[in-house]
Amino acid sequence: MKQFKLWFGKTESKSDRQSQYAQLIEQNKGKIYKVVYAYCKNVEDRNDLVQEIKIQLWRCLDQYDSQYKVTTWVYRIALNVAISFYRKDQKHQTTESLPNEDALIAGGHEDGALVLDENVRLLYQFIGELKELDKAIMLLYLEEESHQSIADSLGISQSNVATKIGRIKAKLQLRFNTQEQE
Amino acid sequence: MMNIDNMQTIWANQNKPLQQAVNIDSESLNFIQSSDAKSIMQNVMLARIIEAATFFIIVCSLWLYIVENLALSAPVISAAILNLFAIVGLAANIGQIALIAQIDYAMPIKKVQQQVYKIRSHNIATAKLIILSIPLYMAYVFFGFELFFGVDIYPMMEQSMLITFAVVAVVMYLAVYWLIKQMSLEDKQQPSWAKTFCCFIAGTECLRMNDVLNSFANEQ
Repeated sequence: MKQFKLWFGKTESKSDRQSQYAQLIEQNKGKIYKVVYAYCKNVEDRNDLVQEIKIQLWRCLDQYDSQYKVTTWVYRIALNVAISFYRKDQKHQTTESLPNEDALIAGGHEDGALVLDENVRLLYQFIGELKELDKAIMLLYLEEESHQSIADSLGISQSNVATKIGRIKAKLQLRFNTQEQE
Repeated sequence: MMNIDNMQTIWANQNKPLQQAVNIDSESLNFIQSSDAKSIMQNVMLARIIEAATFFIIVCSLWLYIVENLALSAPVISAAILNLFAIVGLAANIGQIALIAQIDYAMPIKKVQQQVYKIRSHNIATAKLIILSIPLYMAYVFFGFELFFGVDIYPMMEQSMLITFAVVAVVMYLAVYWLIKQMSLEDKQQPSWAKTFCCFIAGTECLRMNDVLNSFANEQ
């Protein structure tokens, strides 16, 4: 990743830029899909969101700021696009039902088959029930970003991040406990 | 029982299978790198450009009419009033185009979402502008008659009729003032009908974006 960081952002030719972009997407496709799964339950919306994130990453490629880790930068763009993304069909944005395996593995024509651990599947479900801002905080926290980095990405104070994480964790623990009792 | 403190480890367990399962085909990447790939904001930008062009044509046409018929007549004054509204509409659209061009998704989430909300709530601002022009409905009448029938109806109107129209305009102004005050998504005390009305104009996504901004505000 360090090597990638060294030359990333310094585009000299069109083909350089294209290969940088392909490498960026390849290395971060998992992260992109995590954001998409957390923010969209509708398969059609998910495909559109993946496309939109990829477009914005392509557009922002030259403006990469080397003071951030590439993964943090990708996450920030993906979260910004996901939060502001226009959902076509609100009727399918249910938060009550448990997302089935298909919802997590389908993701469009580009996905292969993926069977997720039950706890991860529940995590996606419970994160999906959170508010937009809380989802972003939780995703960054789960990626082991520091409080300072989360605060920078969100544009809020570090103390607010710590308080928020504590509250969200308590909420998620409660959801897991309730789920197990059922 | 799931221990919430192990979440990060559990989350990291999916990294490898997820990375392996997702295939990004080169065809889709090539398409994105071509100029054919349009982002959602580019489509919004196109809509604003069309809107700005429409306002520009209206402004130019009204100016042309004013210059060609320069006199202190009701249709000319009406055209000048309508022109003011069209100029405000044009300026608002130019502001929107500049805002869309400035959006940088790599900026902190709070800042980007504030910009996106301003873009999404544009329809409310446009609706407010149109509603604000309703009390000046006589300007539409005077100018419309002149435009379509070539008749200046002002000299034909009786004094009592003019007074009635003026009183109706004042009452309408009070009603419009009240209505515009209700049309604010930022107001948490907003009655449900006003919320529904704003949703109808700006769409539910605008309401969702407002909720996002509210959750940022609650963090302060």
